Amino acid sequence: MQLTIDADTSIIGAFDDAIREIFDMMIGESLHQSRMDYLVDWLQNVPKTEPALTVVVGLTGGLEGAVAITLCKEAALKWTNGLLDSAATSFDQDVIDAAGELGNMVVGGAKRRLSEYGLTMTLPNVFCAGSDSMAFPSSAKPLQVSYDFSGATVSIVTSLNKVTS
Amino acid sequence: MKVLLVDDSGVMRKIIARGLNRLWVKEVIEAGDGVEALELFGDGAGFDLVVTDWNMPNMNGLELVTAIRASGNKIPIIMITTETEKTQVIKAIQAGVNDYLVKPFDQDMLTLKLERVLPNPQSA
Repeated sequence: MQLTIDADTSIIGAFDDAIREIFDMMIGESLHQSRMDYLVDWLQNVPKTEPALTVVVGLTGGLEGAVAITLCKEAALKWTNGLLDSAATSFDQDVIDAAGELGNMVVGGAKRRLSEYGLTMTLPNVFCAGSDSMAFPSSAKPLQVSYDFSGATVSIVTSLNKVTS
Repeated sequence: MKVLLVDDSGVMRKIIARGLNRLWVKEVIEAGDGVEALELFGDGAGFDLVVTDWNMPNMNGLELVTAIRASGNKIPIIMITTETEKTQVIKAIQAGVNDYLVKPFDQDMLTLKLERVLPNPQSA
């Protein structure tokens, strides 16, 4: 069963709460939601050349699928530098690791808020690409929620199905 | 004061190591998973604290804690994790974890947890 925005605001809300809490607590940044839409025409998308990072975490249990968190270059650097008091200006291992940790914390935070689903999460995988480079199987209906902070953008793409037993 | 810090995320190790160094810990030995941690830990001689992540490849934090306790070592262990479900917390406590820090956390929360379990050399 695919998720819909109307029916599953609690699931979207769990990810929303988690990412806001993490940015506020870990680097003192407030996120402002700027956009929410289904990614319906990804096959028509021409991947942009703007650098970005995407961390993907799989979920199993009462919900199955994957969650991707995409950071534009500015967002990835601000997140990393806020965490480490560093001054990274390009992608390096710290930036990759920081993105992975963000995925771990966001999905972990949402999992905590969605305890009724009994979710298990995979280790995060980080890709050097943005959400415009993603493609999904025809059964998926991925929803993207974007946030702005300090001139940077971070997005959560959820592609989850409810498991009916 | 010597601490074994175990996390597959290099960034998280840096954040926690910074917190440890702000206290009275001078030596932080880092490992990327439970297997590496056990090799570095050996019989535990010289270590005062283990700080470990839960969700790691090869050997996770729970397996690491179980292995350390199985050897009879009573060193203080802090688990740092996103897991907060009651059954998971009970699992960790049963395995022998002394304290628990949930991600995300700020520096104050980290310091509080570390101060609670670290032997303070000034009070000795």
